[in-house]
Amino acid sequence: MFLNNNKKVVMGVIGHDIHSVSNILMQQALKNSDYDVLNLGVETQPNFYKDAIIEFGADVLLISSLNGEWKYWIPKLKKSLSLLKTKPILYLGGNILSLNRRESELELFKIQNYGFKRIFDRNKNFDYFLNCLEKDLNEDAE
Amino acid sequence: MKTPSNFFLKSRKEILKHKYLKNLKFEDTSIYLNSLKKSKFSVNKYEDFDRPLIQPRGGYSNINKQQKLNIELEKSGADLIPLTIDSFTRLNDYESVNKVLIKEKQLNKEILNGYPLVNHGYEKTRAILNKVNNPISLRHGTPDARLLVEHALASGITDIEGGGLSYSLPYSKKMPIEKSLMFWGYVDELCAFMSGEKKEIMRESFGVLTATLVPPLIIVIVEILELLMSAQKGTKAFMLTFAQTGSLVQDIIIANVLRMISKKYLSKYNFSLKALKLGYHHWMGPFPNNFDKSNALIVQGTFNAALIKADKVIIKTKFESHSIPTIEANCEATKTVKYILDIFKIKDTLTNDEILIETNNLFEQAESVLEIILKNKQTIDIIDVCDAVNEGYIDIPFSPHPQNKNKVRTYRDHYGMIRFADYGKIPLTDKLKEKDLKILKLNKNYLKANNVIDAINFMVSK
Repeated sequence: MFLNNNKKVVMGVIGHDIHSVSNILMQQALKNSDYDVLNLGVETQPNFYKDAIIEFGADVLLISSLNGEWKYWIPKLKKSLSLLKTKPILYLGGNILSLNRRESELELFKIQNYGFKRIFDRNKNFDYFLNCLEKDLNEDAE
Repeated sequence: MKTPSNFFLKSRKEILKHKYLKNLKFEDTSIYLNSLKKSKFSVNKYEDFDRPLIQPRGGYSNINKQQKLNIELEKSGADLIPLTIDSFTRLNDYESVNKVLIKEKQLNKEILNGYPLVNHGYEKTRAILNKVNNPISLRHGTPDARLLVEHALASGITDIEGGGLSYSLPYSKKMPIEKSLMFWGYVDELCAFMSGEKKEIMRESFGVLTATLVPPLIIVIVEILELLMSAQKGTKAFMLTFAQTGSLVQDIIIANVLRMISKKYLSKYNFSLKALKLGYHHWMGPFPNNFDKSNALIVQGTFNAALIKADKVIIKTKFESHSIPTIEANCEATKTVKYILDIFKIKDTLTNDEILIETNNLFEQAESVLEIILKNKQTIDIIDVCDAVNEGYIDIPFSPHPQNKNKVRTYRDHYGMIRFADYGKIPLTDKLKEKDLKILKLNKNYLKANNVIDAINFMVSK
């Protein structure tokens, strides 16, 4: 049980993806910024996120994908999260958009339709991410 | 052909009954491998070259596209042709692969990020691999690769990457290390069993590990343990590997130590190999987005491979930070690497006093840890290797595996060399720990959060 007012983040790498480095670093960055973090780690299937959000009372869900699997798993995640009464803010990070401009615009459109507030495509700047997170949580509170 | 153990024969009988491997009979693979020309075995390829062999990376879910890639890579100068496996297969999720393949057909679009060898099966794969003359190398990341390697060998693949440590600690959070070592023991014995005279199956370790601030000592320990475990199962051809660290000096030191210490331990345990090779991976950390910088990094990695006199270089493309490379990008990178290696020849590896001192230091460290892990027994005991992981003697930074202790902390020094900030539970004397800690003492800034991120993003933050 958490007895503080820290905002809560559930995070993980979706599907069969095993890219752990940014996931570990991001967890550290969030903890250093006083967020309570439940990191489901690599190889996490969509249903686990839903359960974790309910159990933990998450304000934010941060999904990452580096190996391109997001295209397969995110629709399943959307289906799984549709059962939630209150949804957390959804973020998607990693290597997401394709290089082809037209294709990437379509992908972006799809991702937004899946309910993601922001995507952090190939973002290596943790400060930028943390600033966006703070801003979105403040807006959400208002 | 090695006489197989009873344990292996019993296990293989079970595996050959697997739903996804029904038609393969016990002798089929050895008969097929015997029918292949010697030139299809990577082990025979090295004698013909005075430069590192070139091996790209690549795998597509569509069989025709994979065939096209193989043919184009061969035309571009690749000496070894890769078959990179998708991430569902790597985690033995063949049922999902089936669903994805159906969806791919419906959408007329590729979703998988590699070639699903088990689902396509060895018969179809054989047909496409026959269209190229060069040997094929299996690239994957599968902690339980028994079924996959059965398909691979039956398809005519003669070069098998992976190992019980190097394909579980960096690649899995669910596979207990004890099981992974047993499963890879099966793979090693299978490769030994399928090897013939001048037709040895090459086993290759994956010394890249997490490719993130991994200290040379851990690379050397993992590589030597996988070599010894494999040799004990009877394999006759083995490749030690590591990835470009970011420091040429450190790359030379690692290559020196791997060569020296592997010979020492093979001789200590009376293992006799037909071929012991050294492979070098281009930079495996985050790649620059910018194509000019990516190409520059590829050129640098290629020079390094030549300078350390690697037997093989496993290459990247300028698309590395963007997506799975196109066939064209892969061919372009292959041609670039070939151009450099064909004209840049060196007689001896570089050395100087610093390299000699650091080489001796790393050798002493590795020997000291290996002696503790192996407990001076007559044979290699996988329980001792498991204990080494559980005790934190083998501790890989940024590993997702729950048995990995994650106590080791590393940093990059001013010259880009990866050093220990904290040795965790690695059993070394203070004297052997001295050097890295001394350099850290002079500049504690190396450990600040941003410096660690910069050290990981070494090739993109400049």
